[in-house]
Amino acid sequence: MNILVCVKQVPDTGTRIQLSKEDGIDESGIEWIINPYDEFAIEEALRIKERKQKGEVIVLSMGPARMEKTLRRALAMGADRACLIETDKKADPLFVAQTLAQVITKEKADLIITGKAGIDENHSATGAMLAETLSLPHVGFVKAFTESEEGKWICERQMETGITEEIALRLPALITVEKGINEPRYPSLPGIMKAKKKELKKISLSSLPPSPSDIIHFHSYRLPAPPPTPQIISGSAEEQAKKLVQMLREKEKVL
Amino acid sequence: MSSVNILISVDFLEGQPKTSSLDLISFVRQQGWMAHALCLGTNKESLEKITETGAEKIFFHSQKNPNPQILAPFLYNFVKEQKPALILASSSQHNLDLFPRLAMRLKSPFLSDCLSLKQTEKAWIIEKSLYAGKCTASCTLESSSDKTPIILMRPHQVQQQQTTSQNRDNSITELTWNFTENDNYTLTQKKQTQKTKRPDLTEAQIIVSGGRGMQGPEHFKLLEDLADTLGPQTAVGASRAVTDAGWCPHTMQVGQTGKTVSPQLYIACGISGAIQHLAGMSSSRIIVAINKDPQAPLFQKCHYGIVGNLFEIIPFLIKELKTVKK
Repeated sequence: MNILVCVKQVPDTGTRIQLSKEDGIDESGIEWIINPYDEFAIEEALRIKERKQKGEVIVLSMGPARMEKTLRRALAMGADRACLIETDKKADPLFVAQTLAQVITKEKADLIITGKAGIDENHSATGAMLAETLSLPHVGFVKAFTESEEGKWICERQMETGITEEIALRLPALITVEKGINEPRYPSLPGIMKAKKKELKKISLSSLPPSPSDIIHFHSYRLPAPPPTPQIISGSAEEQAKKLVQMLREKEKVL
Repeated sequence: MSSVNILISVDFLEGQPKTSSLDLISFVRQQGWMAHALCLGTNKESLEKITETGAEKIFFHSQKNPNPQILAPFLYNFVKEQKPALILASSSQHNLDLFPRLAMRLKSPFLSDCLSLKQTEKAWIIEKSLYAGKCTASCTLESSSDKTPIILMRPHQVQQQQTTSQNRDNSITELTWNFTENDNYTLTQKKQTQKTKRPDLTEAQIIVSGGRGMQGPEHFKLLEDLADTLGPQTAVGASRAVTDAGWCPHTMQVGQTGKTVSPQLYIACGISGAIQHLAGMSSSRIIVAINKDPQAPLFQKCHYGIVGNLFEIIPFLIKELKTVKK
């Protein structure tokens, strides 16, 4: 079984976002990591491969040269090979999905896995768009993925309404994964050594046929309003509780 | 100037339209645009609230095929036929499964988790929070484009004004879509697993959230009691430290790798306030921090802070809330 995992790179969750003079994000101090949800996707692919004892895990990404570090990490975790569509261009999910699809159609993947969202722009769209353009069924937000019979898999997911859904999915298909589906492994030292020799193919975006859609661009970047001046409530526990309820009811009118 | 036609895809829960969807219809009408409602998986009897909110044309189908791959082509034809200027829906998981597929078919611009929408002479301006609220940015989509933008809004960003419509001549059309089944996608089970009747974190008006200062999973009962006292619009959340430790399910996590929330009131109990947590809740209208450590970073980001033992303070809070409610 061949599994293809689509990953992206995002600023580390501890990053303090600063704005640049060119109406964007100042990337100078940012430490880039694998999008955490995509890390669950890699781990899930590796576990399936380990259980099946056959097939390949291929990691695919699109972005600037710094992506190589992220792909090497995926290889160190255990992926077999990686492919980077190299570009400095800012892209949106529609563009990314159409571009990734051009490379994916050349691979024989039984299953495509990606994270449920990028923690940067949080579109939650690339996976579903990719499935549509590849004419594959897909299930989003999967938190448990188990094979019930050859080629048929049960996806379990938790909806925001408190409902758990189980969907039987026949491969080939695509899933996007949610936190909690697994605990991603750390790359081992031998893994890191091996990763250096694994294939990391680079394709220039300009060598692919152009994508037909326009790209959505963000502008007017701004930081959130400065935090409020905190009002610290003093007194005994009982007095503090009383004062707080009074403020929330009478001044803020939120109760 | 011809009127602007907006198609709103309405979400239903237990047969009733969700408030977040009704909010969108009201919002569209307040802007002076024409609101049309697409209601899938409901019957004619459940459309009353939608007619009351003042949607012009209402389209419904008693079935909602759970497979977005099957549904997307029907929606594609429907959009091509109706030619709305824009499609609006809530940023819910089901919509995030379906509408990106539709956007791909239409080659339409797609944005989810949006904060605001307005129209200028030539364009739509949409605001979105990025990096889980660490910054905000806008994007401009030409309204003259023949590609219908699809915009999924974060719940509670547009508040419904409690006015009902005088407009009583709305038209109701039943859609005659015949879904063909295929066996590559089968919804085999659907069960209510959370016993709680609480709203989802992203839709709650009030959130009570617990961190490491709760000292153990057994103490979350205290937060549940506080939430019960605060009313049915209250949800219980948690910090990453706590969900990673297995005290609470991941679905309760607020923060950059959990849920981004913006309730009217956020009460953080025993949460120090790591940057990734702050990112997920800083757009709450009023933030209250209760923590025994006066150095907790959250005390710099809250509206009201109480330095003290939460196991003493919360019971008094519950008592006080019960007193004032009488």
